[in-house]
Amino acid sequence: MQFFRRRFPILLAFLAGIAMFFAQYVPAKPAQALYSGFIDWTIIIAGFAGIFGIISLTHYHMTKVRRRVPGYGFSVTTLTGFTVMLVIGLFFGIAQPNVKTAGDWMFLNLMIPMQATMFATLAFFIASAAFRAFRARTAEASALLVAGLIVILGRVPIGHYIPKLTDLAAWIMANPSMSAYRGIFLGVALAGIAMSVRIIFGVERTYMGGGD
Amino acid sequence: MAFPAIILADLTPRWLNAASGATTSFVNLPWMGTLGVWVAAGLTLFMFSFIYRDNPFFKFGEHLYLGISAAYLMCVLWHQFFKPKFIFPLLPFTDPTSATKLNLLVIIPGILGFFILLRLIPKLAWLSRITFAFYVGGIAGFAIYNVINGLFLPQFHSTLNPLSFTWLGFNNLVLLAGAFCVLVYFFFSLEHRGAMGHVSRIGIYFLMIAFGASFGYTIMARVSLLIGRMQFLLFDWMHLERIFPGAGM
Amino acid sequence: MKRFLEWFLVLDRRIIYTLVALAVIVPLLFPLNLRIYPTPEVESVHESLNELPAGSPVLVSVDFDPAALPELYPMLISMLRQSFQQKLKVFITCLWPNGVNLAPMAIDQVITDMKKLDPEFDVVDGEDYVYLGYQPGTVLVMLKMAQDIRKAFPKDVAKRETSTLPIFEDTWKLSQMKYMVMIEAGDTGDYWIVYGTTPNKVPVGAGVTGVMAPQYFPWLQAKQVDGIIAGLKGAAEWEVLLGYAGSATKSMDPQSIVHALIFLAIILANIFAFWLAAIKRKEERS
Repeated sequence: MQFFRRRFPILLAFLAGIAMFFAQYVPAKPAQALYSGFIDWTIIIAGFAGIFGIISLTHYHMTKVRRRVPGYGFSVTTLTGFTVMLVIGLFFGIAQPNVKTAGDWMFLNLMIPMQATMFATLAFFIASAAFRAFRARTAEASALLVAGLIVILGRVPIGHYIPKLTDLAAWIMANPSMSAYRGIFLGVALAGIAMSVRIIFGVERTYMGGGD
Repeated sequence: MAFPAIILADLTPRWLNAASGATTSFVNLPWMGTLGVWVAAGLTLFMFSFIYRDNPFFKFGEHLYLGISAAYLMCVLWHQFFKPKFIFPLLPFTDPTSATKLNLLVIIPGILGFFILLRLIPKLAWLSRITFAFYVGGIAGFAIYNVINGLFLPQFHSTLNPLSFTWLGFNNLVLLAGAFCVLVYFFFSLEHRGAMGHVSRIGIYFLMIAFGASFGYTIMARVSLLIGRMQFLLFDWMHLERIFPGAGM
Repeated sequence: MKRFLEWFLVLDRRIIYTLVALAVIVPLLFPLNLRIYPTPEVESVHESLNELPAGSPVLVSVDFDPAALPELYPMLISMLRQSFQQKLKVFITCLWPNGVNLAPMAIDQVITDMKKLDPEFDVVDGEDYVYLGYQPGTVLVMLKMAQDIRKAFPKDVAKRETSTLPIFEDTWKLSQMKYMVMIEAGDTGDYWIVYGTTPNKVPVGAGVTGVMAPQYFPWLQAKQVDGIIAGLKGAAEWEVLLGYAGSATKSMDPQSIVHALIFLAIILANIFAFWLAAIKRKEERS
């Protein structure tokens, strides 16, 4: 049993990784069939992963209601909204072309306002934070401040009324800023390759979770 | 709770189940549109109330959103993924278009997917390792080839450009210097002293310029979201374009 | 003076919030009609689509949810308008589950608007455009689309078998797309470039939120993307190029005023902070 708990997953990761790596270099039909079949199977697995989060969420809130934890009324709200949307969405469908269903109504009038507004409030907080905390205390902070101010005004229509500001903002985006992100991209690429090799050869096992 | 609903959803008559293609729906009635705008405006104001301080109205909206979005995801997965890719291949007679062929092999990824759900049962959680090993190992295999050819090589190649005493040559120098110095900054295996320390310091300045520019764009993004909600409140809900000429969406 | 500087530097946040709210509301009610100048990055996407002959297959990936709707939805509208005007064949996918309803909303809105301009305008679902919906797996879906889009999406949102649709007669895989516009609110765009468009040599324009825009300039410089439509300003520039004033164009006035307000606030805060520090140093010496 210990073999299936610990060694078998590591062996499986190795076999899957090596097979998929070489399948991209081998044009023969069996290799391409393996490659295609693997993609189909992992898409199905990815779908189940989506359900896992939903089940966890409902389990968490049902536990809160059962134990009458302070504030459990909000969990009742969550579960009620979940049930209503689930029944309506499953029965009446969603995103059907040329048909407006109750599920679409709930998306338009419940989901959009709540999700969009949650992020819209950040505008107030970012303005307040910028005013209170954005100080040129060090040379590095000054570089950040100057670049930030040029882009804040240079990338909106009002910036065109200040000579050369939009050109300067465009130059900053296309040159020093871009080169820093290029350095980050190259680092991320090398790290990604290294991490993939570590996973395939069983050095990296965090995906297995703890315990046992 | 959900399982009977899932079964019944495909057995309801066409007039009740618009997912089957029926075009009549009570949500098309005019007063439903008005009700929808008022509900949306109310929820928008509930969420905006957080600006003052955390309060029960915001908490209500937050928890309602959580439940609705989780159920919406479930509905999307059911209609667009489970039915065509899992249910119909196993049970072709349930496909209304009768176009799906029997494919029993989908049971295997189905079982592997089910193992993920067993994480919720501590005694059987170890089975999910098999699925994750299969999934993560395969993705790692794809990633090596694609990250080299799709990310590393093109980005590396386009960093090396001709240098010259022209404006373009200067920009190429800035690009090369910035990328190199930032990479040196992120190399923590050697202490940042001496020449490496100076190069790393230049890298920090490039990063500060990049983050400052990013901050400027972040402000644009957040303000855009606020403008969107204000347009909804002022014009879709309060119809102020009738009072202020030239205003409106 | 010292008391004023100290008061200003710890200004009550409610005053700041009120100023921001007014800076948004007033220009919406009293438009300034500031002129919008398109940038080369947006012009590139517009021109690339303009050069495509009628009937060319293009892919639009709607990878955002309502959180990014004010910024990215106008881009989707502009993309559909330009594609329908030029009679391109539009394939629409969605790799974000919470955004599945956004594409049908946009399609309905564009068809309604274009029928108002031209009563004879008509596009047929399944022939001129198809909405394929959502599939989980992101990278896996892109790899499957490189092999066969009909197998990645066996049914469209109208539950029709994709292999029977006329739009798939000449086009069934990613490499056959003449252009792609990805409308992104997260990392999916990076995956499209690495796993989708670069290996299959599909030219792609990136519509992204303002937060993500700086990260796309390396892709642009490496010519892995054709152009960048950055945030609401990018969406407004595209509307200007298409010759209509949509919600993005009308948002540029409040956008400019709020940015000017924040710019002034930061500058004044820094000047006053240095001034206060100088006053305190002078007091300590005396």
